[in-house]
Amino acid sequence: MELLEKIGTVCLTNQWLYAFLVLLSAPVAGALLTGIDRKLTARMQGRIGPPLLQPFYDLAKLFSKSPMALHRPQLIYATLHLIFMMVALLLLAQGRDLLMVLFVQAFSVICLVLGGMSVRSPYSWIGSQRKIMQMLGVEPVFLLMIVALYLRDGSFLGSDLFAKGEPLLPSMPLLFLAFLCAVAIEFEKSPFDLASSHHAHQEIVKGVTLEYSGPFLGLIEIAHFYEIAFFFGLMMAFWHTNIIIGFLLASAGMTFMTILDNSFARLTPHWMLRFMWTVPLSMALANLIWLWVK
Amino acid sequence: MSKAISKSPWVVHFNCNSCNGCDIEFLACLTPTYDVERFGVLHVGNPKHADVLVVTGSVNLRNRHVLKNVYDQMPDPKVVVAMGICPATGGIFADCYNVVGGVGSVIPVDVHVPGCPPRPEAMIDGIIEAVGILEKKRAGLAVDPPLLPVKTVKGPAPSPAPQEATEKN
Amino acid sequence: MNWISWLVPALILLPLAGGLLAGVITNDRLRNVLVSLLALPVAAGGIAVVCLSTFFPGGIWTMTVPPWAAYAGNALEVAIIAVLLIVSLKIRNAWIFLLTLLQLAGVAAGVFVPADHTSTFTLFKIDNLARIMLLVSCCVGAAILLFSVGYMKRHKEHAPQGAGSLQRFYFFFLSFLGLMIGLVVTNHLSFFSFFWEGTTLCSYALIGQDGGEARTQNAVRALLINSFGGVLLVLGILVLKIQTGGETFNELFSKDYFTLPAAVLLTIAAFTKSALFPFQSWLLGAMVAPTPVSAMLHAATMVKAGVYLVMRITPNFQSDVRVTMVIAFAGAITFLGGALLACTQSNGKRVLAYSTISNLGLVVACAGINSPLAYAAGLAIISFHAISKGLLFLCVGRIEQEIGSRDIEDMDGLMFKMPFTSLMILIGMLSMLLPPFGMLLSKWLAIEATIRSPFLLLFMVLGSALTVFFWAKWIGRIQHTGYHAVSVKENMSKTMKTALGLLALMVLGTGVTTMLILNKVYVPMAESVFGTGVLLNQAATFPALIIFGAIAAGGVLHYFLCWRTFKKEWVRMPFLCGENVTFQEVEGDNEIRSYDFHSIGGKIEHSHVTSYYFRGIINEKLVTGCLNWSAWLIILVLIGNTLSKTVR
Repeated sequence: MELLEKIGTVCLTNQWLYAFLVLLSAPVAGALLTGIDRKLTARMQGRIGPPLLQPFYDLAKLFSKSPMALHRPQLIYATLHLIFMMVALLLLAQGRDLLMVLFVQAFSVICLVLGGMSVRSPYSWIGSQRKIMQMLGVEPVFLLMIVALYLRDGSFLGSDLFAKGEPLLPSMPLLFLAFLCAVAIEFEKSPFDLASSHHAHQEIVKGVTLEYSGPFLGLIEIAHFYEIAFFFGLMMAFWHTNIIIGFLLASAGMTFMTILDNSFARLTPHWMLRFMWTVPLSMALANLIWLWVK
Repeated sequence: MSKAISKSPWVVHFNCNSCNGCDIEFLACLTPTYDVERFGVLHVGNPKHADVLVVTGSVNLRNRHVLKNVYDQMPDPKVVVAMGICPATGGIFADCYNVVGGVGSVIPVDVHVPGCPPRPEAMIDGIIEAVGILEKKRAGLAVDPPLLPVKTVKGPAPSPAPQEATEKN
Repeated sequence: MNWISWLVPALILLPLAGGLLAGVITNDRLRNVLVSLLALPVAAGGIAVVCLSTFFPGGIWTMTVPPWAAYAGNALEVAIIAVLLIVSLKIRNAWIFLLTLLQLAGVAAGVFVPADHTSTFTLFKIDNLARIMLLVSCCVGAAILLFSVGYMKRHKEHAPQGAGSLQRFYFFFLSFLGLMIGLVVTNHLSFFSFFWEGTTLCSYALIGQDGGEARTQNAVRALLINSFGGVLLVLGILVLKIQTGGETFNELFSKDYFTLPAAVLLTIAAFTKSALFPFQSWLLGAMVAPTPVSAMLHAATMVKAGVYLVMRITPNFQSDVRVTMVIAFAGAITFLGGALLACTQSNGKRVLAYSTISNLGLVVACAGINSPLAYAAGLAIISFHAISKGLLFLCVGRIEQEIGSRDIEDMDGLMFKMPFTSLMILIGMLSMLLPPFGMLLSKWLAIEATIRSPFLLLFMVLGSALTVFFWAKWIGRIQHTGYHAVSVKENMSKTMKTALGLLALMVLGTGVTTMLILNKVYVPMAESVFGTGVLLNQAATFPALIIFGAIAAGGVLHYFLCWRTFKKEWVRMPFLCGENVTFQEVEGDNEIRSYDFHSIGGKIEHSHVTSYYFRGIINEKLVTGCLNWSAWLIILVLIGNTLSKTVR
C-alpha cells in the first residue's frame, strides 16, 4: 500500500512521467469507452455485439494494412489532428488555461476538416463543410462553459478549478446539459452525426474520414480515442471533488449519449445549427446570468 | 498484429447485377438474429475502409469497370466473397446479351458461397472462411486466385469508353 | 537640437517627397526603381525610430516648437480642406460640399479661440502606441510598396478605359503612407486633423484610380462618409479648445483638460474612419481599387488610423464606465456582424473586408472594455492583424491577376496551379486560426478581458466561432487538389515574390514569438498606460513550448514515416462509387480532374461542389440593415449619455 502511494506521488510530481502516463492511458481509456458504447448499443438492439476489446482489434488491423492515400497534404493533416488532440488533452491534464485548451482542441478538429477538404472527393468535401457547421454550433457552448467556470472561481486555470472544494454541477446544471449536447456533436452521435457516422455509413458515405484508409485512418481513430478521453475528463470535472461521483457522472453522460444515438434519426445540418444556437445556447446563457447575478 | 485482421473484417457490399435476393439475405446477417458484428464484422459503405468485398449478382458490360474500380480502391490485404450463384457463373442471367459472366472474370474471387440466395448462415460461414484467407494473405501465405475466362459476348457491341478504361488497368 | 530629432519629420517627408517625385517622373522604369528603393528607407527608418526612441527616450524626439507653429497646422488644415472643396465642386456633390464647408468653419472658428498654453508645445508624441503604429505602417507599408511595383506594371496592361496614370497612382499612394506616418506621431490636434483629411483625400483618389462609374461612385461614398467623420473630428477639436483651451494630445490626456464631449466626438469620428457599423459601406466599396490600395487601406493605413484614435482616447475615460461600455458594444456588434456577413460571401475580397471590419470592431471593443488586459489585446490585434491582412490582400490581388477572378469558388485547387502564392495565403489564413499565432492569441485575450460583462461576451463568443467558419472554408477551397507527380512552377515578378515572402516571414516570426512579444512588449505598455498591473499570470504560463515541441516532434516523425516514404503506388482516385475516372485516364493532364466520373455511355462528366454560404438563410441586405440600425442606436445612446453627463 505504501509502495503504491509512493508510486502515485512520483507519477503525479514528475512532470515528464505524468505527461507520459496521461498520453499513454488516454487512448486506452478512449478505446475501452468506445468498446463499451458498441456493446451497449448492441444490447439495446437485442444483439450480442462485438467483444469489448473490438476497438483495439480494429486499430491493430488498420495499422497492419498497406498505406493508401490521395496526396501528401492529406496525411499531414491527419498527423496534425492527432498531435493537437494530444496537446489539448495534455494541457487539460496539466490544469492549464481552459480557454486555450479548448482553442487547441478546436484547431485539432479544424485540421481534420482541412484534411477532408484537401482531397477532391465530393463526399469528403460535404462532410467537412458539415463538420465546420458542427463546430459553429459547438464552440459558443464550450466557450460559455469556460466563462461560467471563471465567473464561479475567478480563474481560467484548470488547476485553480480543481483546487476549489465545491463540485460544479449544483451551480451549473443547465450548462452541463448544454455541454452534453455539444459533446454529442463532437462524438458524431445521432441526431447530430452529420459529418461522419460511426455506424452504418450514411448518405455521404463516411464524410470527413472517407478518403483516409489503413494506418492513416488509424491515426484519426487514435485521435478520436484521445477526444473521448478529453471530453470524459471534462465531464468528470463537473464533480471533481469526489472522483467516484465524477466517474459516475461522466459514465451517465456517456450512457445518455448512447441512448440518444439509438433513439434518434439523423437530422439536417441547418436543424442542428438552429437547435444549438437556440436551446443549448440559451440554457448556457441562462446559467451564466444566474452565476453572474449570484 | 497479424491476428488482428481476422478479428475485425470490415465488409463492403457491392451489388453488381443482382435481383436483390442475396442483398436482402446479406443484410439479414446484420440483424439481431444473426448479429454478424459478434465477429467484429462492420458493414462499411466505402472500399477504402474495407477488407472484404462482398459481391452479389453477375457482371455486365455496364458495371464491370465499376466493380474493378471498387476492388482497386481497397487497400491490401483484401479478399473477395461472391454471394450466390450469379457471381459464380452468371446464374440465370448467364445468357443475357449484356452479361459478361461471373465476378471471377473481372476480379479474383477467394470464396464462393453458392445458393439462390444462400442462407445467412452460409454467408457468415463464407465470410469467416474469407477471413482465414485474409490472415494468410497478410502473412504472405496465400495469393489471389487467377481470373476466370470471360464469356463470349453475344448481341450488340458494348460502348467503348468504359471498356478501354478497364483494359488500361 | 539634436540631429536625431530630425529623424521623425524625415520619415514623414520621405514618402511625401517620393510621391511628388514619382508623380513627376514620366519614365516607368525609373519610377519603379524609385518606388522599390524607397521601401527600404521607409521600413528601416520606422524600425530605427522605434528602436532608438525605446532605448533613448526623452525630449529629443518630440521637437519643441514655439506657439505660432500651431498656425502652420491650421494653414495646412485649411489648405487640404480647400482641396477637398474643389473636389466636391468638381464632382458636384452638395453633401460633401456642405460637410467640407462645415469643416472649414470649424477650423476657422478654432483659430480665433485662444489656446490655453502661451509657451511652447511639442510637435510629436512618440509613445508606445505610436511606436506600434509606426512599426505597422512602415514595415507592412514598405512591403506593400514593393509589391505594388510588380502589380501595377501588370495592372496597367489590363487597366480599363479611363484609368488614371501610374504617376497619379504613385503620387497618392506614397503620400498616403507619408500622411499615415505623420498621423500616428503627431501631437498637435491641428496637424492630426490635417493628416486625417489628407488620408481621406488620398483614399478617395486611389479608390477612383481606375475610373468608371461604379468606382467613382464608391470613391464618392468613401469621401462622403469620411467627410462626415472629418466634421466630427473638427468639431471635437473645437469643443476641446473652447471648453479647456487644450489643443494637443498631451493635454487631452491630462486630467485638467479632458472633456467628455470632445472625446466622444473624436471617438465617433474614429468609427467612420475604421468603418465600424454603420459606416462600413465605404470600406466594402473600396474593394474596387487596385489591390495594393486595398492592402494599404486595410493593413497599414486608413482604417488603422481610426482604431489608433480610439485606443488613444479610451484610457482617459477611466471614470466614465458607462460611456466606454457603450463604445465596447459598438465594437462588439461590429465584430459579430462582420464575422457573420463574411460567412455569407464568396467574393474573396469582400470576405477579407468583412473580416477586417470584424477585427476592427474587436479592437474597439477591447478599447471600450478599458482594462489593461483588454488594452494589451487591442494592441496585439492591431499589429498582428495588419501583418496577416496585408499578406492576405496581396495574395488575393496576385491570384486575381492570374486567374481573372476574386471568387473563392474559382480558387479551386490553387495549391497546384500557383504553389507559392497559395502557400503564402495559407500561412496568412492559418495565422488567423492556429493557436500559437498572434490573431488567435489576441482573440483569447479579448475573451478573457470581456469576462465581466456576459452580454458583451456573447457577441465575442459567437463572433469568434463564426471567424473559424469562413477561414476554414477558404483554406479548404484553395488546397482542394488531386495528386500530381510533377509540380507546376509559378512565374511571378521578383518584387511581388519578395514582398509576399517578407510578409510571410513577418507572420511566422511574430507567430513563433507571440508570447514573448505579448509578455515583454504589450503587457508592460498596457501597464504603463493604466498605471496598474495586468492580470496576465495565465498568459505567462501559456504553453507555447508544449505546442511547438509537439509540432516539431510530430513533424519529424511525419517526415520520416509518411512524407519520405510516400510512393506513387499509394495514390488512388477518390471514391465516387466506382464510377471515378482512373488515374491512367488523367495521367499527365495538368487540369485537376478527379471529380470527373463516367456517366451514361462512358462519357466523362465534370462536377463541382460548392461551399456553404448560408444562401437563402442569411440575407446580406437585411442583416446589414438591422446591424446598421442597431449601430446607429448605440451611437445615439453614446451621444445621449454624453449629453446627460455634460448637462449635469
